[in-house]
Amino acid sequence: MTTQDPPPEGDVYDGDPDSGDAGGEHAGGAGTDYRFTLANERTFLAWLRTALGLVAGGVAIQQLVPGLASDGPRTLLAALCVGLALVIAAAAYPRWRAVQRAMARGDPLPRNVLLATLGGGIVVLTALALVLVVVA
Amino acid sequence: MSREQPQRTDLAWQRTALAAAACTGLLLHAAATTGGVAVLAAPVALVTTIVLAATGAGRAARLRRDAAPLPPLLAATAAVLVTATTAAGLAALLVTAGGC
Repeated sequence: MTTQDPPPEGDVYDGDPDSGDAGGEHAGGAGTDYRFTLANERTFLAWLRTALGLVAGGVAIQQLVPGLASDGPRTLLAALCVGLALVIAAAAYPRWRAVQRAMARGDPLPRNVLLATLGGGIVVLTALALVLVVVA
Repeated sequence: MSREQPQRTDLAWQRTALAAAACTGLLLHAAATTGGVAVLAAPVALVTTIVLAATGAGRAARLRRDAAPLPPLLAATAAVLVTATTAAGLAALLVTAGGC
């Protein structure tokens, strides 16, 4: 996690006693730099967007490009897209929570296996799409 | 508190809602052309879009006051809805391909 500037003194989230939010462990923890918790929130949303983008891609392959290949291979490519999206969507929340916990405890951030999963999945999808385009 | 961080986070919520809206459009197209399970998947995506947009608006209002972290319930709701949209989309694809 990199930032351009060190956090200024006092720019940490200490919880809002009026709302009953004490900034506990699940919330990133009292004393966690607010920029890190917001960055983690944006990363979580980026994973969700990636999943939604893969769903859109899969549905588009199935619905909008009938000339790409016959029904079987096209459905396989679309199902792989949406299947990868399902894995990413299901793993996004546990990842966000694990990072919140690690930041609250001052531990190193947990290893991110999602990146390797997404990278490998995209390589497979791209290779399959290339084969379909060439064969078609 | 810097104003850039809440703005970036607000924009991230808006982008996510837009991505869900794009999915909704495609699933509505699939429902209109093929019917089947896509007819059920499109409303799931629509609900996801609405909830993400509303949650984003609520987060933006909260972040204008202070830099409170995202409540776990909101994160879990967003993740469950996106997962449900994805599962519904996969079901729509497979059932449509199976000729149901």
